[in-house]
This record gives sequence, C-alpha cells and structure tokens, in this order.
Amino acid sequence: MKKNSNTAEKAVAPTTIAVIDIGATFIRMLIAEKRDAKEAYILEKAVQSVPIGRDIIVSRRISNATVEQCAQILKSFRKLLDEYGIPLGSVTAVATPTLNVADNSAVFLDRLANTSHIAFRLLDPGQIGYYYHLAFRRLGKGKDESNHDKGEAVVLEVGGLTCNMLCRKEGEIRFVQTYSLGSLRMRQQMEQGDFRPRQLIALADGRTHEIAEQLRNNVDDVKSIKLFLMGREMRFAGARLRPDKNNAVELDPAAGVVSVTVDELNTLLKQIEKSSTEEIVREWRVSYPDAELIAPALSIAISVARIVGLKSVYISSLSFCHGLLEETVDGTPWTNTMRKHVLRVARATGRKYQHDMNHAEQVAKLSLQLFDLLQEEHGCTQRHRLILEVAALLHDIGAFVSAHSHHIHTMYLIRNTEFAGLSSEEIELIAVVARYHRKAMPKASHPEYSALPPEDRLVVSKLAAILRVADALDRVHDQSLGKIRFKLDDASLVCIPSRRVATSAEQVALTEKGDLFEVMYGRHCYLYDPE
Amino acid sequence: MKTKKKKKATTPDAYEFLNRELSWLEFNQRVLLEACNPKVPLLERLKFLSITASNLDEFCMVRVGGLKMLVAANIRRTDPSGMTPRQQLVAVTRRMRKMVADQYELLDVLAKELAKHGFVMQESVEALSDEQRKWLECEFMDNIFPLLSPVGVGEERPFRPAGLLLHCVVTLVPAAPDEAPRMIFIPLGPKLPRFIRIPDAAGRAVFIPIEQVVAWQIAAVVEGQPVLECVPFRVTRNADIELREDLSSDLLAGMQELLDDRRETACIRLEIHRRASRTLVDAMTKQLGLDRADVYSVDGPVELRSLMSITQTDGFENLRDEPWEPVPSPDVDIKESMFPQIAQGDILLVHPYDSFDPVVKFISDAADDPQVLAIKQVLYRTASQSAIVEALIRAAQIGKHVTVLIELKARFDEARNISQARRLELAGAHVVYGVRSLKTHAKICLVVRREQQGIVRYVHFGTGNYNEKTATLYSDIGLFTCRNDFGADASDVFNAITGYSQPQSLRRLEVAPFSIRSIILALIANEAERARNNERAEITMKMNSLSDKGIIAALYSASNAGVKIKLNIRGICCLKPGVSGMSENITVVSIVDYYLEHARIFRFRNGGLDDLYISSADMMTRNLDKRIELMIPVLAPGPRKKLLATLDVYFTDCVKARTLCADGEYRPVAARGKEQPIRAQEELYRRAKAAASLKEQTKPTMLEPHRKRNPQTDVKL
Repeated sequence: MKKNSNTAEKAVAPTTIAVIDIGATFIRMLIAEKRDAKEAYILEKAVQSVPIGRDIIVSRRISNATVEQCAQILKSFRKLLDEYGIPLGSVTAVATPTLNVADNSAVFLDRLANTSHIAFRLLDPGQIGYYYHLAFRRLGKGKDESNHDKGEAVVLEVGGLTCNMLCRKEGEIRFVQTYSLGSLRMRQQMEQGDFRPRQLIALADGRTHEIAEQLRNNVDDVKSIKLFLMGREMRFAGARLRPDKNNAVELDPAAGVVSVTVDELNTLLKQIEKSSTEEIVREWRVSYPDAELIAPALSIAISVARIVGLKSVYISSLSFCHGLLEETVDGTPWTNTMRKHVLRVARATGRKYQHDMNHAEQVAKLSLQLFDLLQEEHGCTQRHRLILEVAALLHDIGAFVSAHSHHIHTMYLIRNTEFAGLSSEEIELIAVVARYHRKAMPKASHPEYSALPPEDRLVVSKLAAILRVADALDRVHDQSLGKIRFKLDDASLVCIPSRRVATSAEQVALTEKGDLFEVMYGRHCYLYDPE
Repeated sequence: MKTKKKKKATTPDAYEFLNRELSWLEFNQRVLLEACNPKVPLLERLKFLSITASNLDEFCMVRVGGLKMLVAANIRRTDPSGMTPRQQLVAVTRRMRKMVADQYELLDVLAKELAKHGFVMQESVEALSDEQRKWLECEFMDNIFPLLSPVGVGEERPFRPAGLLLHCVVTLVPAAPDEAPRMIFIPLGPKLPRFIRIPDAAGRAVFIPIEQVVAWQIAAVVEGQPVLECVPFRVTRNADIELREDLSSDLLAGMQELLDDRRETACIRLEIHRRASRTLVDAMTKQLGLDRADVYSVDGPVELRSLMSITQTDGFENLRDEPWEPVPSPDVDIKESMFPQIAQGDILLVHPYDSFDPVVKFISDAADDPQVLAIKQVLYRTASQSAIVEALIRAAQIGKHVTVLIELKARFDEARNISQARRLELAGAHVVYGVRSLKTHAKICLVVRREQQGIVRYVHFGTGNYNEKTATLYSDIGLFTCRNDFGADASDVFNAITGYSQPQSLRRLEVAPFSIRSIILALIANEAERARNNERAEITMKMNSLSDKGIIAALYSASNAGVKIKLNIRGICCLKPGVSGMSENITVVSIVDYYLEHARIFRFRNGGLDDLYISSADMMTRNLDKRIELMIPVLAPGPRKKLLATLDVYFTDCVKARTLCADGEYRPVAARGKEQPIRAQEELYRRAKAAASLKEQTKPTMLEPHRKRNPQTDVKL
C-alpha cells in the first residue's frame, strides 16, 4: 500500500510537448506527451509539403508564396497546439541548416515567428547528426535494440538539399558529416535534362564517392557496418517494400526499423522509373511533390550502399524530430548524453593536436571547481559550464601550430572543429574563452570579442577569468600542487594546495593571470603557502 | 473467340451486371410490397406507400434527372450492364409508370380497408354531409383562401412552378370564342395542410385532400370568372447538379446559389390528375417545356408522400405496429459519465434496438466535462433541433476546442447544414465546410480528454448519421473506444480533413478514397486464395448498395474460387447471384421492414480469425472514390461477439427477407421446416430487450435516493 502511494507521489503530471521542424521539402510537427522521465508518447503528427528547397535551388531565396504557405501551415499547427494547451513559448521549433543558403532566411524565420509566435532556431549541420543520434536511442526502447547499439552503425538521412551522416559505435557518436547532395538537387538536374531518368544511379555514384571515402577512412570495418536509411522518401520506400496494414503509406513510427536488401531497393527504383509521377501519386498515395523525390532519394541510398559494398540496409521510421523530442524529454537541452559526447570530441581533438593531456585535465578540473564555487556570483548556466570545461580542455591545442601566440591558434582550431550537437555560436564561445586563457584581457578592439553579442561578451569575461586562474595553478604542467581547496571571502580567493611543494612559479603566474579574475569578481588571488 | 474467353476471365461481360437504376426501382418495389402485405397493419401499409412515393420523387430528381442530362448531351457510353443512357431512361420510365399505377391501385385498396375501421380518406367534397360541407366552407374562407395566391400564366407571362410542390391549374372560359383559354396556377404552399380533417358526428377520422377543397371553392378564388377546369398537378425538377466547387471561391455562398438554382432547374416530370383535358395537358407541357412522355396522369391525389402526415393521426393503435421502444444498452449506464465506461472496454451499440442516447450523452458529456480539451466531429445529416449540435455549441461557447466538419454537399440537407454551420461558427467552433471535390461521409466523433495518466482520446465511430431523429428509424452500428491506435488514427483523419496535415499512414482505420477499395479487394483476394488451398473461406457483408464493378468482379472471382459469399443488401445490387460459372456461391438477400436497414458490416473468415469491420461506405464507386469514408475493424471480444451474432440474424430472416435471383427479381425466402419463422428486426429487438432485462435483474437491489448533483465532484478521474 505504502509503496503504491509513494510511486504515485513521485509520478509527475504528464505534460504535452511539441516539436516543429522546417525542412527543405516539408514542415512537420509532432505533439507528444511526457508520461515519465524516459519516454515521449507521440500523440499526433502533422506534415505538409513545402517547396522551400526548390525555391532555394532556383533563386537562392524563399519565394513570397512559399513564405505565405509556411505561415498558413504554422497557423493551422497553432490550432492543434491550442487544443492541447501547449504554450507557444515551450514549443521546440527548428529549421534545417539548408535554409541558411537562402538570402532571406532570417526574414523568413522572423515572418514565421511573427505569425505563429513560435521562435525558430536555425540548426547547424552538426546538430542534425546529433539529433539523429538521440533519435536512434528510441530504437533502444524496442525489443531487438541491443543489436543496433552493438558494432558500428551509420545513419544516412537523405534530405532534399543535403545528406546528413552520423556514425555511431557502441552507442556513441563517432562522427557526423553533412554533404551537399540531395533528392531535390538530383531532381532539379533531371528536369534540366542533364541526364535521363535511367541514369540516376550513375549520377548519384558521381556524388557519393565522397561519402564512401569518408566511411572507409573513419570506420573500423566498412563491410560490416549497419547502414540505416532515414528520411521521408526512405520511409515511403520501406512501407512499399514491407507492406503492412500499419504502414499503408509511410513506415509506421511504431514499426521502428525494417531490413531490406539493396537489390530490393534497386527493383523498386526500376519500377518507379517506368511509372509517371501521376501513377506514383495514385499507387503510393503520396503527394505530388513527394512522389517526384522518391527515385532520386533511392538512387542516392543505393549508390552509397553499393560503393561501400553492402548487400542489405535498414530503413528506419525515425526522423531527427524524434531526437528533438528525446531532448525535450530529458528536460534540459544540455543532456548528459550531449555533455559526454562533446567532451569525447574535445578529448579526441586534444589528442589530435598532441596537447599535454594531464595539464588539460587538471585545468579543466580546477576550472569547474571554481565555476561551481562562484555559481551564485556569475549566475551562469550548465551550458556555460560545459563551454568552460571544453575551453579548459582545449586551451593549449594552438601550441601544435606554434608556441608563439598559441592562444590565437587555439581559437581558430576550435572554430574549425565539428562538435555534433553544439551550435556554431556555442563553438565560437568556446574558442573565444580559450583564446583569453593568457595574455591580453578581452578588449573591444579584438574583433572576435566585439563580434559577440553583449551577453556572450560578459560570459567570455566571466569564464576566461576562471580559466586563467586555473591555468596559473598548474603553471609547470606537473600537477605538483595536487588537489586544491579554495577559500572565498569578500576580498580574496585563497588557493590551498594539498601538497607542500615549492609554489613560486604558480605564485608568480597567479599574480599575473589573476588580473581578469580580480576585475570580474573583485577578489585578489593568493596561493596559501604553509611554509 | 479466343480473346473473348480471355476477357471473361478478367473483366466480366455486360450481361453479368444488373442495371443500377432498375435495381434501385426493385428496392422501391420491395417497399411497395410491404405496403401491399396484408400481414402488415393498415396504417403501416399507408406509411410504406408514402415512403415509396417520397423515394420515387428523390429518384426522379436525381437519377432520372441525371439520365436526361446524359441523353440531352448525347452521351452513349454504356453502364456496366451494357445499357446506353437512352436505353436506361426508356426502361426506367416504363418501370416507373408501372410502379405509379401499382401505387394508386394500392391506395384504393387501402382506402377501402381503412374506411371500414373509421379512417376515411374522402375523394371528393360531394361525399360529405351538408353539415360537414358547411364547416368546410367556413374552414376554407378562414384558413385556406387567405393563403392562396393565384398567378396568371401564358407565353408572355412565364411562371415556373416550384419543384415537388402541389399546384392547381385553372383554365378560364375565354372572353371571345377565338381566344385561347387563360391559365392560372395556384400554388398550394407548404403552409397549407395537405389533408384537412373534417369533424365527424360518427367519430370517424375523415380527411379530404386540399386540392379537392380548392377545386370545390374555385369560384371564390377566381372571383366568379367562368371556369373550364381546375386540376391538381405537380412538377419535378432535375436535382443532379454537382456543385461546381472549383468555380466558387466561397463555398458557403456557392451552396446557397445551388439551392436557389435547384428551384430554377429544368422540369423533368409532370404529374397531373387524370381528369385534365387533353388540351390542358398539351398547354401545360408546352408551358413547362416537357414531352408527353414526361407526363404521369394519376387517378387519385397527386403526390402521395404527404400521406405520411395522416398516418400519425391520434388513435387507431390497432392499425399500427406496436412501437418498439429503443432499449437502454446493458453495456452503458446512462446516468454515469460515458468516459470511464468506455475506458472499461470498447462498447458496441446496435441501433435502434440499443438506444441512441449514449451517443448524444457522449457528446453532451464531452461538452460539460472540465477535463475535455477538444471535440472533433463530422456532421453529414443532422436533426433539425439537434441535441448534438446544441452540445457542440455549448462546448464551443465555454471555450473548448470544437472542430466540426459540416458536409454542405449532403444532398437535400444543404439548407439545414448551412444554418447549423453558421450557429456553430458564431459560438466559436472551428467549422470546416467539407473537403474539396470529396463528400465527407465518414461518421466519427473524437473527444480529447486530459486525464491523470495523460491525454486519452475517446472516439465514436458509426455507420449512420449523428441524427437523433433518424437514429430511431435506421438500423445502424456504433462503436465507442479509447484505444490508443484508434485515437491516434482519429486525430490523423481530422488533421487530414481539416487540412492541417497531408493524409498519413494509419494504424487501424481504412479511409476512402485512399485505402478502403484496396483493402476490400485484398481481403476478398485473401479469401479466394484460401478457398483455392481448399480451406474454408467465407465472406459475409451487409450494406445498402453494391454497384462497384471492381468489387463485384472480385466477388465473382472469389465465388469461382469457392468462397461462400453471403450478402445482405437493402437497396441497389448490380451483382447477379447464383449464375453457374460466375456466382453460384453468392447469395443476396434484402430486408425491408419496420426500420430502414442502414448498417454496413463486413466479415471475412480469414482462416477462422473472422476479420470484422463496420463502415460508413457502401460498395458503390462514388463511396469508394469520391467520398471520405471510414472502415473500422472491430477488435474487442465483447463487441465482436455481439456484432457477429447481429450479422448472423440477418441471414436467418424468412419473414421479411427476399432473395435476389439471377434475373434481377426478388423472391420471398422460404421458411425452413417447422421452426418458428424468424423476422430479423423482431429478433434483434427481442435480444436487445432480453439483454437489458437480464442486466436489470442482476442489478443489486438498491433504492436510489435523489441527490443534489454537483458537476465538479460527479466527474470521475
């Protein structure tokens, strides 16, 4: 009895959540319910085709008619959100990075936000891969999932303008990559008469070499990988090949994943090539714009599978929208998975540039210690904590290029590192914080600093101040001070090492690098010397 | 020769189908046979007669109107039975004439019989007593004369009599012998009673048709001008105008234009009393733009559907069937909220035996329940003062999200639906006026409720309209469920028909025009495949009409494979059963009885799994291709048992059932042995009553004190 009432207390009231994503060819919304901490139960899905990608290919801008169409779609989505009483502010709304190609993407998103009162976040290419990674976790909730988490899995999403690839090993992200190759682009070339429909595969082959090359170089055994095909057209094909009452048109989300042979896909492609678009619309029961994209998407998928030498592949009903949902369920966008993944990338990057790993770990540890100690003062979020941690881990990588001005080299190396799941703004923040780990304090004359929005500039100063102190405390890179306790009072920060060693180098460094800390936190830094 | 044989294997030849129009007329004939049936009480027979008349009016407007348009456009494409539009028109007209003759002959018989029981339909004023005539004269001057507005007509004064409205035509003696007689039309508008009841000293119910009274007092109407003749007549106008949706930017405005148009469309039939002179008929046909072939001279009251009004006369219970009061379903406690009851398990109702109240209660509960977030519903034909529409309006007014798809294209109900749509919109509901180029015929209501454990969707599916008036006359199936997959499908269906989303793949439901046809064909093919493997294979279907060529061809092929096919089809059936080498395994029965058979139930044996479905769709091409329809699998054991038992009863009937023969004729089903013959509707009513009384008996014997109700605490979580 008692136990029951306890669990009842623990159970949180279910909340309804929603994610909306704008892709190159469709706008989609998922409404789900968070019933426990683990799963989002999907209540409704609405999807409508839009010609955004087509507009972009034709004129590099989204036409007024399309903007209007999207606004109307969002209006109708709002009605559904209202029905469930979901506040518009809590809707996770994202737009595909390909939108960035359009000259008017910012105005477009502003217009949508103005009509729908939903703010859209333009994703970075790396984030798409990350969300696919999260979506993939949903498969883990199925029965045969353990299989999919074992070994190497490659997720290939064939989109309208881009293909996104995610490589997972033992359930962790290996790498993510975006290629500018997509079903719409191929379709466009077909329409321009560059080649005949039957040559689709040949055309795709010319483009997928890059993908195959990357796979060969980055996975352990390219022949034994599991290739998961994702994307709308793939789901149509999956439903067609594995007809079931439950996937009349599109692979049912509940179905999860089906396995098909590359030969089957090829036969399907040949059938489509023989039919007119009208026939596909009628027989497959898909919309006209969707029907046109199935063959190009299939040819890309077949081409990749063949070049890599796979006989069979998987088609999954998941989309990166499911990943967005997963993230929402976890409560904060800065999930543990995300943190672990980002740190893994950071450490791998550090190794790549042959930094002093022990020093990097020590500085990171001390930085986090100080960050947590000063939490009330700086009021920064967990997201900033991770930015500081990564900046600390990578602050010295620029030395790989040259010891001279290595902080500058650090900055651009970080800028050019792909962290799946982090936005470019966040990566920039890491780069700038790391840049200020030594030498000059942030100045308005530094372009990287002045380019930041004011609130981010403040964050840089707060975090760099901490990083500089932490770095000073391992001046000689030998972790000789061991564990350090900090004592904070109104006027000073006293650092108390656990070991009694000569501390002169650190003392000098602290005086020198504690400058920003003193400005930002109003406290002088001392090293407690028991001698 | 060879090619012909090959063709036969794939597409059946023309002679393998019955003509759709003639098949419909045979249905009306079966209704007429009920009117002729001496075992049926007299006033019920009169009612059936009036139904055949009203059916025929509709048929004439829509189908004959359509055929005439095809003939006028010189279209010669043949129908599946191989007839050109002209051939069909000729055959249909011949059949209609015979039917009309039968109707009036029967009316004579019924009038004589009814008169014996003190129910007198008087043909003329002369038969009344002096006293009665005096009363009638006063009645005329007070209540009829003021409502008459005669209109002079002629070549220079065109007047278009309204369709289906009774008129009198009067010709006046010309002032000069070389002049043509002047013609006056007197519309007998809907404000006038069709039959006037005359006080009777002997206590009988005496009725006289209004046109006789007007003819008797015609001198007063034409202010003493000399009258040549005064004859009642009625015209029928073509109503087969498909709404030109694409041309109309505002659908609502378009619909009203259509309604106005309907009054203005071409005449296709003139019914006139036999006493009219040849000269008058000629003048009339000329005036109305008709052929002689379109004229129906009748010997009796023109327009018989109004007989319905006098069948309601108080008293004479011995001349009526004992009414079958709907029985409260044992699966529903009407005093409790519907939601927890549905949460206990799916509930299937067989209307009208099971009362329709739970359906009204469901929507009304949804309106009043504070946990309900949204109600979504499709309305096709609603009652004039609909408790359902009132509940939806109430829900919208208190801020619930109410989405209603009102089908403005529901034939003959457009006017009512427009006014309901306006009221719902004013209340704040989101109203959708149908889907472009498709009629939304699906019967579905979705209630979204926030409960402690999360969102729960309650859905009602039906085979009949959300119309609490017709629900007491039509036999239909309704299913309540809150299964997740059905709820999610219901949401998807509404998102598709409201244009929020593209149609998506559904989990449980089948939707026309997307999947019903293909799934039915697949299910039939599956049975055929089993039969070929020497498994037992059976298909049992109940519906209103079967006319789709593709479905019929599939059934023929299944029959050839050895599938036992039993069909219960109330109306049109273009399938020819019992033809050897084609359909010897198919039997078709039709039941015309007290209630209008309206349910669609499909059963496929599927190796003993018995796939069971209910549907809003008939197996007609228009239902499968041009309408949004739903086909719903019935999965829960209780409802399945009940539905299977119900379906079985329809095939045991040997009182009201008739079997379709290969020649298109329907013959009575022979009773089996010495057993008490079963009448399906009676049996279903008996079962419903038995189930209800069993429930009553097993109820704990508790007295229920009236308590003050508190809506806040009455709601169960």
